[in-house]
Amino acid sequence: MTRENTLLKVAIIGVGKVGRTRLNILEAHPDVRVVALADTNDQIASEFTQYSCYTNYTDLLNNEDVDIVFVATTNKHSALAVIQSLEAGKHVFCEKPPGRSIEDIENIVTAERRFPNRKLQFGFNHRFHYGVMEAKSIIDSQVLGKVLWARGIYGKMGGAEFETCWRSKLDESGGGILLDQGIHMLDLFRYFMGDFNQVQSIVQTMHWDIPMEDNAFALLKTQDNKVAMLHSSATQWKHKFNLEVCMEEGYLNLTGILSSTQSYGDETLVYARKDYDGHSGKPGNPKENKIFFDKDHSWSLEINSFLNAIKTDTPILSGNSEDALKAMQMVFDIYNADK
Amino acid sequence: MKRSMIVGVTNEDVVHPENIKTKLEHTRSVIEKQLADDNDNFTDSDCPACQSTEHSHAFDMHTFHYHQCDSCQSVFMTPRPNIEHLKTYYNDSEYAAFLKSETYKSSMSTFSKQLVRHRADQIVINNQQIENSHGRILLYSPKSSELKTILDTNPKLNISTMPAFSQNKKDHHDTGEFDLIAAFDIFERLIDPISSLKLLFSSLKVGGRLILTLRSGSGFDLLTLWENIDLVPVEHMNLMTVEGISKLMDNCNIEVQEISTPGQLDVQIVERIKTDKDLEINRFASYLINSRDQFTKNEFQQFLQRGLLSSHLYLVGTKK
Repeated sequence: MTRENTLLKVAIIGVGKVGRTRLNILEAHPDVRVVALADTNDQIASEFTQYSCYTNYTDLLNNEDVDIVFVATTNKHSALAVIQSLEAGKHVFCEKPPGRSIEDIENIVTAERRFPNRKLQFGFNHRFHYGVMEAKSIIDSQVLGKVLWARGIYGKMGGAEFETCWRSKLDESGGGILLDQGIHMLDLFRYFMGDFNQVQSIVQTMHWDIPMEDNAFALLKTQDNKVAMLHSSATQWKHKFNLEVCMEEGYLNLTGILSSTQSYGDETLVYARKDYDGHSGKPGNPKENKIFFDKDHSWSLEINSFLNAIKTDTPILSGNSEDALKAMQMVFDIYNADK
Repeated sequence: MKRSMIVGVTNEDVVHPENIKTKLEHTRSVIEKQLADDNDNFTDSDCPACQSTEHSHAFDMHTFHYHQCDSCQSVFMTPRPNIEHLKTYYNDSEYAAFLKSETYKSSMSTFSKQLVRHRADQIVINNQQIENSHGRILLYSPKSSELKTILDTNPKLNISTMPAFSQNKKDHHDTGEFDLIAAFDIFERLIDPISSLKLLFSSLKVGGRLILTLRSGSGFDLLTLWENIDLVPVEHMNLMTVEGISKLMDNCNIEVQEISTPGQLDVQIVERIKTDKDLEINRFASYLINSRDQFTKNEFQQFLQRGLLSSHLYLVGTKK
């Protein structure tokens, strides 16, 4: 049954930084009405007096008549929150990563199968960045031929509170920078190149006093011999996002990604054709097409995609549970390959 | 909004080769004079971009008169030739014959090969971004058959063409059937770009894309050189600014996805004409041209591209 022209009632579980970002977008969205929040921090009740607030999300699920639940908890709680929300009959949007382990996401997938009429999407918002969407168009159009290899760097500096924040507690997070941020790059590798079946890696704690990796280096190979190289880092003192994709007839480079902090620089996409004879420049230095994107609507576009799937009762096409499971398998394949 | 630019240098002599310049200018001047002699049959025009009736004389070029729109600052010819004049100019003149000659084509081959490949890529990538595209592409008045030849090799595309100056209804495709329409370097030449845009609009499906390139009225070369710019009047009747073409699209119910000015020649054109004519130009431009090295000039051209201040305009819009 489609639900066109009805306001969808929404609850958010986890009102930290990411939960608040989702809240801001949902509050402005014409198709939804936020009705309830849950967070272990009991201060949210005084901060968000316009909503029903809970310190235990199961109370929210038992008491609130909502259509959709956004799960933005720490990794430790996300899998159970998703499963219980599905069991309560809700459509669910869950931030990445989908839990702390393969077992977590497998449990989610099992629950999802029990409720085929519920929509479940995961927050791989990088797919909805304009630069990534443009790159996807170029790759899928095959205007530059088939993909040969990709090289991705995603790095941030950790930060002053890095060693004490929840992300650096293994019990809360389940992994280090690879699980937290590198998973986005792995998802993009798979989005552009397909599934990988061979992995080599070096996963190390090089600098920070934390019980998980702060740097991961990986080589991945697909069944049809495409190769991707990843460096995911928490010691990148100048934040960096860089994804190069080499194709048979040319290449593209995604540099920078727009974020709330603007710390990853301008979002630009460069693409060019290979040029043997130097007609468009010098040999090995072709004339390049450079595209700038000055807006980041990725969060809104991602939510629109989710809401559209609910309203039209169509499958989740991007960021579904298969995407989440495969991305988690890549993360843990990289962890295991270094053992 | 996204903006595109080209990284790398294109030398003007690749785009305007010296060896054909004399013949080109001579044959063109003959047909221009022939048209100018019949200017009693020219028609007045308001701003072809924003349609404002408020405009004032800007400059004259080879006896043709240019006005500037008070509202959007677009520069345009008024009065202007009629369709019969254009048919003569583009089809039945010695100039037209030279444009079709092997001498001309071989002189332009390096540049046109790159350009056609680039435009084919733009069409293919844009088509990929259209929801439920069936690859039905219309090339509006393509300069040559090369673009269609390249695109025809793509099995996902079905390419049609439509001449710009045909009054024959059978040439018109107004059934809303096309996923994408590309009109490269034509809108600056049209007598009535608004009517042409409406025709293209009716040919496009809802959600379909329109790609335009044209010489703009926002370019550093035009704004620096003004009456000394080397326009080709009949081929540059409409020099729409970024603001003007935005209004035109809005008025025609086309949502602009991208406006860019990826031109590479502004600084070179200013330098060439300043030198050739020993011109006095504004202090900044003069300092840039006379005192700064090629690196700075190239960087400045990149700045012009990025800031929508170059004279070659690229637009992608979607039919609402």
